[in-house]
Amino acid sequence: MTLLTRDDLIRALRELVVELKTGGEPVGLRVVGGAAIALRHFDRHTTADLDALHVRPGTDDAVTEAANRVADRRGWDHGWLNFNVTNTGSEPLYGRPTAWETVYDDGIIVIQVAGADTLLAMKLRANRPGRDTDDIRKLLAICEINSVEGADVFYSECYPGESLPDRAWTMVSSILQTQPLTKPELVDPVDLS
Amino acid sequence: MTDAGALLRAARSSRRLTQEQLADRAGVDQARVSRSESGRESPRFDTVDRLLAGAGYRLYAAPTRRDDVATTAGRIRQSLEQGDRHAALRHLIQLSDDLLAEKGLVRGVLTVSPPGTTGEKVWDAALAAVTAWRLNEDQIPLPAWVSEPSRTLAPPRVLQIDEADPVPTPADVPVEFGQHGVLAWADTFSSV
Repeated sequence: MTLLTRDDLIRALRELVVELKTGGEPVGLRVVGGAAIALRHFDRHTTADLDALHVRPGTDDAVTEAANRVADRRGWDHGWLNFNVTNTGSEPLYGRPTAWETVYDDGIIVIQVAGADTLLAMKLRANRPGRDTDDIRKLLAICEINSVEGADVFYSECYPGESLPDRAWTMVSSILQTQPLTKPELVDPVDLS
Repeated sequence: MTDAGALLRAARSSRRLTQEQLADRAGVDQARVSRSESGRESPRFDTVDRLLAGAGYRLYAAPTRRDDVATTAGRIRQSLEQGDRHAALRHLIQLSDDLLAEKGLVRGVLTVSPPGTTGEKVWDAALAAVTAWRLNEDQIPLPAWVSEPSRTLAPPRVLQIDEADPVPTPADVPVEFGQHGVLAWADTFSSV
């Protein structure tokens, strides 16, 4: 399907909120990955989908059904919002507390996006060349990590007992050698009301 | 949504026709061919049908909403013209995901129309590599355009997305990418 822009994501999340309200049950939705970056942090142009963690409170099935209704109206494929990331073990659960920023809260439906440090940890874990490199560069700048040793310490804090993967080490070293880190311009706050 | 302009351009290019030659065959003026291919205007259905017929193609509907290779090639071309190689890669990854999401004949259908050139040989080869990789996984026959000599590079090259990207070893590259001379990490095409 066609890649999603930030505007696509915002419009779809607004429709999702309406759908979830109709259900009447409390829902806590947490967004990670490229969609979280595009919604809260910096301009990323497009993303393939919206990666979400397991819903707490509420159920993944209820959110999936609501997301499918949004997809049908917009002519998108089902799966634009998915929980695939929860199967990868990439969420930093056991280290430093993860930061979440609330972008919508009406007392029943709460939508949060991952903070920059959580996203950096997950991107360093994935370290897919071409796909994650520029995100890592910008998130390093936001998190003010200026050395590969600093990145390694940060990674171990997020994933206790683990070191920065070899390829991520190479990528961070190259990023820091090729050009000074520059903080990207923050995107405007999201209004999902 | 399928880009009619990309389909028309790809169909004409696959027959090695100029816009003027296609205009003659379809009985329209060359300016209409140009406008229809450029995306500056949305061509009428009968115009699309007529131009495709002039190139020896016919439009069919497939039970999928996913983009095909020809449409993706048009998007990659546009991204490269804008100097946005990251966006070009996202379109290539999306094609890989779209092919994986479909099974059997429908996956194959998404690769039937020959893609036009992206303007860079390494990306043309990468489109062939992704197509071969995903069709082979489902044991689907490859369309002829995948084997065109212009879609294999020697010596192999990288896609040059980001200057900080490490270069993969042959063991890190999907077999089909290696066969097409494109050095790309297999897990760049994996969801986390």
